[in-house]
Amino acid sequence: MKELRQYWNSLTGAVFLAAYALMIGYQFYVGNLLAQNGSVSRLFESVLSMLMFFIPILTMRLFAEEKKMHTDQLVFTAPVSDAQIMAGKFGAAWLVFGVGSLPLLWAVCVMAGYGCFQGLTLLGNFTALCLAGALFIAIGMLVSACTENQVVAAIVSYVILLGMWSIGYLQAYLPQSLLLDVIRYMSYRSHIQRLASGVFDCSTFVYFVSLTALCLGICCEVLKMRRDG
Amino acid sequence: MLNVARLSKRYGRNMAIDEISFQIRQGEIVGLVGHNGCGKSTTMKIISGYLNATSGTVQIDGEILRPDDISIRKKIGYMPEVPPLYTDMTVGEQLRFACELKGIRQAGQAMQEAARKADIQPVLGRLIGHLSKGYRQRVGLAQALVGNPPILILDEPTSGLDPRQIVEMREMIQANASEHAVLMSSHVLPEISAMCDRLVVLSNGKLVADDHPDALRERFRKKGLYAVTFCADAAQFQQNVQSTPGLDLVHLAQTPGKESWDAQIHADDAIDASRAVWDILSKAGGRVIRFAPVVPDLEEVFLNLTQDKRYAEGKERG
Repeated sequence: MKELRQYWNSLTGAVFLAAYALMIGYQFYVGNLLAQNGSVSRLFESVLSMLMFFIPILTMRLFAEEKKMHTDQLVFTAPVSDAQIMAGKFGAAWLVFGVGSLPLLWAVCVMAGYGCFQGLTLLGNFTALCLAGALFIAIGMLVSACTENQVVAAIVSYVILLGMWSIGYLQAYLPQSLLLDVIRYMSYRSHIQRLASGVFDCSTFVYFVSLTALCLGICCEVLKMRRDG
Repeated sequence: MLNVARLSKRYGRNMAIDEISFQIRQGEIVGLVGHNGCGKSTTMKIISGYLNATSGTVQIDGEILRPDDISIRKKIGYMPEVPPLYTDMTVGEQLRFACELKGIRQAGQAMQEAARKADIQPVLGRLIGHLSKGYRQRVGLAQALVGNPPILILDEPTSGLDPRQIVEMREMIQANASEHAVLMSSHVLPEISAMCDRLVVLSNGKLVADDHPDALRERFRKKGLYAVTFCADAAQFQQNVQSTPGLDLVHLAQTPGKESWDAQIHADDAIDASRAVWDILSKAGGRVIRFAPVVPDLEEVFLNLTQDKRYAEGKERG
C-alpha cells in the first residue's frame, strides 16, 4: 500500500499513467484508426516496443530513492524479510503498470466493434504484455537496487532493455551457431512476436518467468550484500 | 536485556568495530561515544539489524539476533542519525506505515501512543516535508517508539537541534527510558553524561571504556592534585606551600573578578593535604573558600581515552 501511495504522492505514478495512456492513444489513433488497420498485434507490438522507455520511470525510484533518502533504514530494520520488501515493490509497480495498460482494453473493444476480434491473438498479446511488463520491472528494480541515483537507474535500465530488444537484429548478420541461438533466445522481441501471433510456446514462458525470477533473485542478493557491507 | 558480545565488523581490510562487548538493562540509558568514524553508527546499525556483523552476537532477552530471524526486530526501535522519513507523507501516514511494517494490529492506538510520547499529536496531519528539523527528529523518535519495543537505539538524536529542542528531546528520552533499554550516541559530552547511566567509549573500533561518567572522571583523576580557592596573601601562601615538605604549588592565579585566589597544589601520599593547606592559611590569617580534588572534565577523559590511542595506532600503521 505504501508503494502505491508513494506513486501517487510523488506524481511518478500520475506522470507514468498519463504518458503511457497518451502513447497508447497515439499508437491506436495513428496505427489503427487512421491507417484503417484492424490488427491487434500491430497495436500491442508498438506499445511493447515503447514500454522500455516507460517502465524505467516506474522502477527508477524503488530502491534508489529509499537509499538516497535513508528511508531504507526504516524498511530494512523492520520485521519484514527482503523477499517481502521486494514483493511489495514489484507488486505495486506491476499494478500501476496494469492500470496504465487498461486503455488497451478500450482500444481492443473499439476494434472488436468493427469486427476485428481474434481471441487467441488477443490473449497472446495480453500475455506478452503482462510477462514483458514483469520482466522489465524486475530488471528496473535490480538496477535501482544497485544505485542511489534515480536518473542513473532509469538510464541503465533503459540501456539494458534497449540492448535486449535490439540484440535480436544481430540475427540477420550472424552465421548459424550456438552464439546465434543464444542471441535469438535472449532477445525478448522474438518471444513477444511468437506470443503475439497466438503461439503459446513453453520456452517463451520459461524465458520470461526464469529471467524475471533471476533478476529478482539477484536483486535479493544485492540487498543481502548491502547488509553485509 | 541487550547483550552485545565480541561484535566485529570488517569492511574489506578495514576493521570498523573490533570485538566489542557490553550489556544494557531495562531502564538504563547507555551513551555510545567516540570520535567520528570510530564505529558508533556501525555498532548501532548492527544492533538494529540493518547491517550484518562479521562476527559476534547481539542478544535481546536471551534471543540471538540473526539476519534470517525477522521477528526479533519487533523488539528494536531504531532512530538513525537522519530520521528515515518520507517527506511526501503526513506524520500520521508515516507512523501508520511504521505500525504496518511492525505488524501491529491496532495501528491507530499504537500510532496515537507513540505520537503522545513524542509530543507530536498536533502535527499528525501535516506533511513531513513541511516540518522543522526539531519536529522531524520527534517523528523519528515516535517511529522508533511505535509498538513499545524494549530496545531503543538512538543515533545522535539531538544532532542539528537548537538548545531548546535539545532540552525537549532529552526530556522526552528520559521520560520514556524506564520502559526500555536505551543506547544513544552523541558528540555533546556534557549532554550525554547528564543523560546516561553509563558511557561506552569507542576508539578506532575498539571498546576502551564502559563505566559511569563519574567513575570515568575518577579513573583519570590525577592523584594528589587539589584545587584550592582562598583569601590570603598569595605571596606568603606560595612561600609557605613551597617550604612545606611533600607539597608543591602547580598553579596560582587570582580568581577572575574577585579578590580570592585559585591555586592547584600537588601533595605526596604521605601528606594530609587538606590539613596542611588549612594550617598554612590559618597561619597566614587567610581562609579557605574551596578545597577539592581536581577531577578532569569529560572532554579530558574522552581525549585521554581516544586521542593517544589514535595517535599511537596511526604511528604503528604508518
